[in-house]
Amino acid sequence: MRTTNAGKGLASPPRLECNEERQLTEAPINLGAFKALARRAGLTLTPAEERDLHGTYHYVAAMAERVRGRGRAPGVEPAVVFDPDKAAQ
Amino acid sequence: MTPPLTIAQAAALIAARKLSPVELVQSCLARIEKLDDTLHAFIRLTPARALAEAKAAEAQIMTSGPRGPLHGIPIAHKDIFCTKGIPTTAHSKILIDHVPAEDAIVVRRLVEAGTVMLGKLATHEFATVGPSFDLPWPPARNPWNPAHFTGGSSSGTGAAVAAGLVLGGTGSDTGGSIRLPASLCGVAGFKPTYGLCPRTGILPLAYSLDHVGPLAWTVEDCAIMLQPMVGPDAGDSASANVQAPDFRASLGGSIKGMRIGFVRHFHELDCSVNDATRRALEDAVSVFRDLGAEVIDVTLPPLADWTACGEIIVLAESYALHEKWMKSRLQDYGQCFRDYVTMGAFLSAGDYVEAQRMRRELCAAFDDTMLKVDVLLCATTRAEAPPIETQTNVNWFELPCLTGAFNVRGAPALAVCAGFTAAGLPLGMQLVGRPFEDATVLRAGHQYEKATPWRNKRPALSV
Repeated sequence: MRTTNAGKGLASPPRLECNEERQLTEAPINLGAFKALARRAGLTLTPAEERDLHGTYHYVAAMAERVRGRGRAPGVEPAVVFDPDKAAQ
Repeated sequence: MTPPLTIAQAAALIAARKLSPVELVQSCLARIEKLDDTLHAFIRLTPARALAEAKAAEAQIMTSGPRGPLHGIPIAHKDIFCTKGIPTTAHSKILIDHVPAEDAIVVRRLVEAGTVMLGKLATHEFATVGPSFDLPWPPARNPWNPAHFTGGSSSGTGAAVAAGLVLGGTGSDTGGSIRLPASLCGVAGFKPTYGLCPRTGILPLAYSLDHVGPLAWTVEDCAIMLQPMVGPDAGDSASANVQAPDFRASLGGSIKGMRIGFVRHFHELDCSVNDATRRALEDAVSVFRDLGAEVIDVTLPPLADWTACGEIIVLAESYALHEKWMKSRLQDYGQCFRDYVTMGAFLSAGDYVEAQRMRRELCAAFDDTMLKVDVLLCATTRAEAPPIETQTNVNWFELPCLTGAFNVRGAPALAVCAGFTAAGLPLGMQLVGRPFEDATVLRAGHQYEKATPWRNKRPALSV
């Protein structure tokens, strides 16, 4: 049986209502900046793709904001950790 | 053509020598011939191999009896499961010429258990999002009404099992890809605990969220299929070194006294479901109480938290996997895949690390809740299967996902049929357990199935 994290002192994240992230209804950057990000990523997008992706980018930006905006304690490590026993497998 | 059978029924008939594996395979092939031009569940059939394997199984069974309950049972694999010498394309132009040199570990284990492989099943491209109409093969259709969506990404497996084209099949689940098609196609689908089934030889989507599991008509059949799939493998760094119980033997116990946490806020506050789904969930609560379980409302972090955490991880990990091809062959992907995975290019390393840190907090909250209950009950989808043409321009990020939370936790999660709409489309629900308590989840699902009539009804076109 595996042990769980329960009781290890990790605080539950504060509860936010799900609609909070929907308040970000426009991309946090304009189309020109978005195109620059795409170019930096090495993507070759058509103008239509640039517009479409920019139109939905704000949803992803809102999710990124949601995972960041918590004032998380420095000791909360990522859930994926380096395991030296398995590192070479 | 015999009526569709469950794996348990077919295994009993084969063991009693009342059913030949060859006849069973021929019956499935006849049903495929009749229905798959409509359903598009298969993207590749392997009838010659299937008949050869069935004949070999028949000869072995006549000589020494069946190896186990999967000996001679026809199944098929989602086309991200590598199959030696048989193309494995992920339903994508990108890998249209990809012929693996080896079987995936779980494919090999299912072969060793005696299964007969009928072919490779449709998937959303690289197990992501769909349906897509711009790929080399069309998307699968729902056997309960072929004008409707199957759910995905294990879309072909859901359709094939529901229509009786196969008795079971494999799926993968990174955010719901076993449970969503299981729910919309009215079958059972089980996402085991992360690491229980090795993913070696299965095309990845997101390393830290990918799970592998079975879909079949019943929970009992899922338990039968799961058994040989489980076990450590050195090729998968997440593979768990645990001793698996006898899943089928674990199904029979009573659930009297089992504590079931009803995650009501998922479908009432965080992501509203339609009336039929809400009623099905409330009815399920009554069924479990009648079976002697104690059902209480419980609270988890909101779906938006789980969804944000899961989506950032999926996008970052899948973009990293596909970055080379996305830079050089972007137009060889379908539009759904491009629209979805491209978003990973706009995330930072900090976004990914923060998502993995948030994941630890969410896991702790889940585990705190699971101190009070043995199993969770919650919705799988917002409604029954929608018409497929309404799914062509979906914004994948607009609504929270009801299934992804349990990929983030890596917890075992089972989708079962929970009834039907007035129009005859299936409704689904999820049962979820603590990591490595897969048998408890399967037992709850099996007892629910036995107490309800839903397994007695098959899609009209399959009978």
